[in-house]
Amino acid sequence: MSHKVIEIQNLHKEFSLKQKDSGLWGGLKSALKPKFKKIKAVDDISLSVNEGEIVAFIGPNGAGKSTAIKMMTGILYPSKGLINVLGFNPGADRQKLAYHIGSVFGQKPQLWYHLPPLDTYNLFARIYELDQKAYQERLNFLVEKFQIQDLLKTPVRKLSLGQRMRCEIVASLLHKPKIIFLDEPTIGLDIIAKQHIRELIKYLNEKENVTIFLTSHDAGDIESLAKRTIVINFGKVIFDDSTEILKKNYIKSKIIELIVSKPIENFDFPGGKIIEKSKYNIKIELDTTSNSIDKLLSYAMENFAIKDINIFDPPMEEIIADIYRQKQS
Amino acid sequence: MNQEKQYLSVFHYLKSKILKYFEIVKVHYFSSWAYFTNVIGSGFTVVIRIWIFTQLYTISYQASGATIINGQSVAMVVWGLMLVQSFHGATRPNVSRLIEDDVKNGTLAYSISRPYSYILFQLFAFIGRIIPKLFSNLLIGIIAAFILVGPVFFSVKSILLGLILLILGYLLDFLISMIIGLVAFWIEDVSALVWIYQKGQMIFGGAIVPIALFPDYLQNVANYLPFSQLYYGAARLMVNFEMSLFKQFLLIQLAWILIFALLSTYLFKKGIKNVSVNGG
Repeated sequence: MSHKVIEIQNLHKEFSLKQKDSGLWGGLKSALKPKFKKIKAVDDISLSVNEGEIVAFIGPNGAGKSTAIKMMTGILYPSKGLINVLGFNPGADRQKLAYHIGSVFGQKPQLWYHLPPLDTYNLFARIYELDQKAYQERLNFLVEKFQIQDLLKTPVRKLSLGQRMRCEIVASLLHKPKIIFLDEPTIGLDIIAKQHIRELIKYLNEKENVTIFLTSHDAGDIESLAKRTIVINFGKVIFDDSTEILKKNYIKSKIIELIVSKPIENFDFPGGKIIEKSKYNIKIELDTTSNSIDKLLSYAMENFAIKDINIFDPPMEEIIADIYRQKQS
Repeated sequence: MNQEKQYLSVFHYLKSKILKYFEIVKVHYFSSWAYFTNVIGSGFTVVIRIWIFTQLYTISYQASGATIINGQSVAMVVWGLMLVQSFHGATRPNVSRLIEDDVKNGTLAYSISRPYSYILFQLFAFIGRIIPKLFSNLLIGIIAAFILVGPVFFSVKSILLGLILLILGYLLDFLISMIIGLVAFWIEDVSALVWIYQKGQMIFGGAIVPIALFPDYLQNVANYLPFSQLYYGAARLMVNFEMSLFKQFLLIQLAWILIFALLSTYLFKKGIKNVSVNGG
């Protein structure tokens, strides 16, 4: 039986944001008598994660997902509530916990910008007090797995975003963490780089039994990786169940964009709703519960001069609106 | 046997901590070389400044008709200023600014969840950044001072004891700059504090006028201020050593270091409770 590695009870986080009127007078007033506005970033969250799970933690911008992750990793102190990660209280024992967890924050690189990744890895090996022989073996293994042999000695500033992200993940895995927190690991990556990162995350989970706690804006990350999804909005958990149920009940459509070289006169495909149309570009929302993307693409290829095709998931806001709608009904 | 085991585990514990911070010095040392022209440029700034000082003090001494004032010849003044400028010039980029940025952009918050002390990390990073510029400044500065005013006598004792004051001076500078940077937890911009600190160094830190040339009453005041204990004390004693002055400077330095170390630790602990990170 697997045991719980993360337990959160009634977690709250409030921020006080300084409010300032515009202009010189406003600045003076704010300096003499500052006004603060309270923002509830996380509002009474309770959840637990079992060892070896991949959990997707999703929500729109400002929903509180990164704040929650930061509290789990000891970066932020909670305003109220209890957190237990691998038996540690992250706020109080953050440095002890650091030896057992890894984190990758897509928008906060940990690699030294002007140095090759190898220098940062050597530094991390010392910081995490790794045995040098064990470190070398671990590094060789990760370098091969993540295919970064050619990148090790190149300054980070010269790497592409996808290459950099692979190197970032390696940095967070050197000390063999039991849990890895990934905050937007695929942000800004192209589809091939995204796919590569997803495969590596899967591998870590399956082969090393690493628990993965992942936030993402990308429904593709969630569908391909997580068995369980937690949706958060305005700091509250509004969905916590299997990804299959989320897909079945709430991700019922795909957006297909067709770019053509000759204008489209008439587009008629059952289940396909035109949501945007210009002379050489058309966006269709396809109900995937009763129609397949393959058929729509075959129809498009047969009838139009296709130059390019893009497929998107519905925006997160739409999925959340759907969850609320179903809850109310 | 048990005691032996204990000694061994203490040894391993200390070794891993020392290696950790040594690696931080190493990474920042190499990272500094990425700005090669900056490192070399810093040395040439020292040359321009001491050339101006040479003109200024040669004319001033000639006008006064004296060759020695308060025990200082023109050559001693110029060598002393060269050393202060070289020591101080190696501290850029400004630690206060780096800490302020870390506080504002959230890097500090991310750092505290790693297994090291943020203050020690910054201290050893500071050491790593100083080394290339210090050597470059000294090399270029010594050649320039030699050409401009000729040699002065340095004893091995004055260099070694001056070096102790220099190391403590860097520690003191780091602690004061750290405190200024940490104030960013509570105020939006620390520029005003940085400005005051820099001007304090300029006037009372012996960077333009050696404190030995101040009137007696002002010398007494300046010697007890932290500004003179950053780099002037080390430079003054390297060029013109006096044992009594060394002991006095050492005590003053240690007192300031204690005060600022306690204050920076207090501010850091209080500040991280207030951490808020953008995004989320």
